[in-house]
Amino acid sequence: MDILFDNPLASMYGPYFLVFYGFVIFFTLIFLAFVKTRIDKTSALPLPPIPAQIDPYEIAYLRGGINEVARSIVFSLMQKGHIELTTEGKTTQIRRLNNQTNGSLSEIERQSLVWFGQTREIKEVFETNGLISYLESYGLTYHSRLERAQLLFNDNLRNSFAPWKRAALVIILGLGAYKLLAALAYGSFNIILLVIFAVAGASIVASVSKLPRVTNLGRAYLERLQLAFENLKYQSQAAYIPNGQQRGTVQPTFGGADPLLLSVGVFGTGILAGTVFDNYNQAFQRAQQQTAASSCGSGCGSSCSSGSSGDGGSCGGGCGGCGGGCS
Amino acid sequence: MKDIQNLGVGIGFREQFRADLFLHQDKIKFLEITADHYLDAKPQKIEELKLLKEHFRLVPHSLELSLGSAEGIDEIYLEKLAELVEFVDPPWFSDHLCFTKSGGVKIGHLAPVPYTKEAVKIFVRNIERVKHRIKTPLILENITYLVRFQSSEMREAEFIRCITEETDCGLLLDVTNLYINSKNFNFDWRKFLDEIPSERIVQLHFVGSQKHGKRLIDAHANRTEDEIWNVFREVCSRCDVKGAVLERDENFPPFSEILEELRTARNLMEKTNLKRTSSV
Repeated sequence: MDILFDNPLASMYGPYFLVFYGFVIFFTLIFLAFVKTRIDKTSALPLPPIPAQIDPYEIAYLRGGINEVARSIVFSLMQKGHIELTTEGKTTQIRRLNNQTNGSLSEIERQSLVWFGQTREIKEVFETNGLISYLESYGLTYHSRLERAQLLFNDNLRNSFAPWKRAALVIILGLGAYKLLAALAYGSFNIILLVIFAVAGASIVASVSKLPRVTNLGRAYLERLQLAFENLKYQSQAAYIPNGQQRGTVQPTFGGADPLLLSVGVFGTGILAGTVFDNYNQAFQRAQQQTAASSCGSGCGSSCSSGSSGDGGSCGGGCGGCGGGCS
Repeated sequence: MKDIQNLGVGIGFREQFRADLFLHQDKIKFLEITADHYLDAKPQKIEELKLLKEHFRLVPHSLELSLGSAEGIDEIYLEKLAELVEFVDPPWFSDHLCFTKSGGVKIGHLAPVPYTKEAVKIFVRNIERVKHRIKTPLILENITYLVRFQSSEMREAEFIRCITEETDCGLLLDVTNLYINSKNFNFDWRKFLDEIPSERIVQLHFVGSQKHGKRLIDAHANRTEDEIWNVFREVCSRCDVKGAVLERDENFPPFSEILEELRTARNLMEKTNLKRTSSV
């Protein structure tokens, strides 16, 4: 007992200890944040070239995970006239239209159309057994390909960071617990601030320790894509500004990709605001508001506004926590 | 000129084409960039340049060297251009046989000079200065003009011959400019081709001309017409052109139309090249 609690730290006057503890927490967090920046060494790698045959769904996956792929597919099927969105009150339903042949659809779109065999509510897209589960195999393929290209964080990198996170928690919670015991041993029960410091410190560690989905290389690649296709975004938006028609016709496919679908893949569904597909955009926003509290289902993506900031780098990678993780 | 790499058919880069270029990378052999857009450029333009460099072969085309200015070369501009050329590392770069600055003031136009021995001396002196600073081969482009000077001592073709031979520079023959000048000033473009040193032609520019009153102008806004393709074909049959660039600045058509023009140019270059080599 003497050895354990008879030392300057254990007997330190409470307010002084809190100041000391605050410094320990602060410098531990700084160190952890520094280690986090050093874990991702992909900034030094050369950026992958932009392929001529670009897959909008893979780019959507990079940007926001399987949820973004699902959003893009719903948009594409709607644009091509295979499904339609009907809104009653606060509920939006997706109904399959049977007057189209599937010839112009890609494999992933054909597969997805099967899921729309019955009328679905838009929020079902992101639920368990929803479209995102149905697309799991595609998600895994995209994920492994992007992980191999080091555009997404892989498990090795995550695992290499875990010991640092544990060490930080041990330092903060260990020191707090020790002082708590010492205080109790000295008969002091005024420990509420100590507990608050410890809990707050641990929470911040947990928050700082979250690694993003997308690596620095992935983010830079997305920015490159957004720069390369910036004018496509404006051109395809302009082609669908309402002028009395109910639905825009699909633009001719060129370079292996529909321009608007490619824009949605690269920039997110936010670019549809103000176009004839605005109802689609609003329906997803409503679904997002309805489900945001319970899950991150539709809470990702669509973060790229169609604003004219012109910097092209305002979105991408901002959906780290969700993506495929919530399916 | 024989040692210069053959780049095939390319296009003058304009932001409006950017997305289309990436979606059709396989059909675009190289891009001609306007050098001036990347001097003192904003970070986004620098990013664009890096992006383009990583995906395409680039050739800078500058507007403001003002090789015909009697006051000499703007050293600050030259330094910036040299840095750009060094970064891009092209097989050649180009500017115009004209002046664009006078008394240090930009006149905002590619202005012709009188074809005199004095003007040749000025061009030679300025070009030597550029060549001293930038080791990459410089090629010189013929311009269109609305006036011809009474004080000229020689024909345009002769003037071009004198400058290119004295400076050992290549030629960027703008076949549209040649066609337009021949129509506006009523001369035979074939004779012009006979008089210029065709072995020095490295690159071509082509685009459609535009009627403006009684004259033709180079608005860079129209599809290349058959008469200009005839000039293009004739030039290719006479020399080993290393690159041809479509210059479209306005009235942008669907990109499929641009690709069609590039395909036509490629076919003409390949066919005439085949004929020329088989006849040697």
